Amino acid sequence: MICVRSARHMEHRKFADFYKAYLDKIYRYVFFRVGCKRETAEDITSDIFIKALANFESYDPTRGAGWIFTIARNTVINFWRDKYGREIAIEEIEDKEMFSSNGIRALEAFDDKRQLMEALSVLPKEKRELVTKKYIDGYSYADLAEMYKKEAGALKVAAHRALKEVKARLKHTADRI
Amino acid sequence: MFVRLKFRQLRKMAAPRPEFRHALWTRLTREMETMPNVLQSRRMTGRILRVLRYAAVPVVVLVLAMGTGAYAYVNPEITYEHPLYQVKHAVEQVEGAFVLTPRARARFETKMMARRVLELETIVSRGKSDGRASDEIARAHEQAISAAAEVKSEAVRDAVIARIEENADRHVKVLEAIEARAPEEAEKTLEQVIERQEQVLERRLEHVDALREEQVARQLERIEKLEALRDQAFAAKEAREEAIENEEIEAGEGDPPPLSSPFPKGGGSEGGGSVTRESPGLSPDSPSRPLPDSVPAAHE
Repeated sequence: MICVRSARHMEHRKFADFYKAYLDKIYRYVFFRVGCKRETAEDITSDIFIKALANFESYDPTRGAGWIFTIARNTVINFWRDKYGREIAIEEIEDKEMFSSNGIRALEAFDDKRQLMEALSVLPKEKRELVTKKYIDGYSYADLAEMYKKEAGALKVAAHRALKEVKARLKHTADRI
Repeated sequence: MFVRLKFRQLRKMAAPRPEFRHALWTRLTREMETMPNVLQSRRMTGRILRVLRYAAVPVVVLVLAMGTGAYAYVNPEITYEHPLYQVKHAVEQVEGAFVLTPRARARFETKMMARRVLELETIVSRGKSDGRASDEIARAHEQAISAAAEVKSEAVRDAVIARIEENADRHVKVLEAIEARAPEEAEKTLEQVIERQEQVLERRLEHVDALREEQVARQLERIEKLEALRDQAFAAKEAREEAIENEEIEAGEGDPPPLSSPFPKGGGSEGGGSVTRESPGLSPDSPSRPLPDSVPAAHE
């Protein structure tokens, strides 16, 4: 009996650690893909963690953040599919909600953040995606390496170079002002 | 202009509200209670572990009494690969347990960081290098920064941070020496170091109210320096791989293929060469692949 209880206690703690590790990342992931609307982000994040809890048995910690981010991505896609009444890809959602003029306008109150998103929006798509995943969504290089099927070292160099481009574009904007 | 700092601020802006964090956890805990596979928490395991932890204290005291601990404690030659390193570590923990005030804690943690840097210097002087010693330095660095941020007196805090910076710069110098000696070996170490140094940066940013802006910025500069060093090492590795590839192509052109095989050496892989290297171009398949199910299987 004690063994069973201890095992369950371990599960409870495991989920608590999982929650602590991923809540911020998942919330942020959702927040930027629902037009920076807090209430919507909170509702969707809740759904994501309820689904994660219900399926926690299938979670393999050695596989990193991919599992929970896949749930998050599919939940966001479902949200927009219900809204638009058609199938929609995550890239289209990101283009519309994060990097379009509407998405950037959602950050109007935070001027330097808006500039940052503007600088990011004009980067080539592949670089933009990498920087977004690393520096906004908070994926680790290990997760990215698995996702892109590339060496972490190559991704780090690519991210570093993309970041330099963002920096140059921000500087260019600042000089113009 | 620090782009990373801006990204960090952007992430902070998009953080969940504490009320939401708490409310969701309460809801999840309720869900856990109703689920058959998750029960309410039991404290037995925790209690046993706590008792075992206290039992470790007399063991450490005994080792101290034997004098071995004292020897290990003062000797910078005792690095993590030495059998007495655990003893040294235990003695330091005992010392740390008696540090009570924030000022003493800051000094203690800074001293620990200096010790770790000294150990890395010893390791490198033996012609070795790996990420573990740097991991220890980063951990000590994080703790020292957190402790310094708690110090009320600005003068003392600045003095402590000056020492932390001095040790952090010494760490970078050692890494530069490793990179100069063996750039290809250093690449992996540098990657690990950068990852840990980003955690140090996060720690500094957490204490941004207590620290001055330039004290946070120093860490950003340090990371950029390490990244440049890593890029240098990466370029050296690429150049070497390219040279090997060229050599193999030349050798392939010079020698006729064996009669039994119509393919050149390394045949079977696309492109014919035995050295294949993925380009850093990006084309992940998973994000672009629409997934119909909400929950992925574990073996995916």
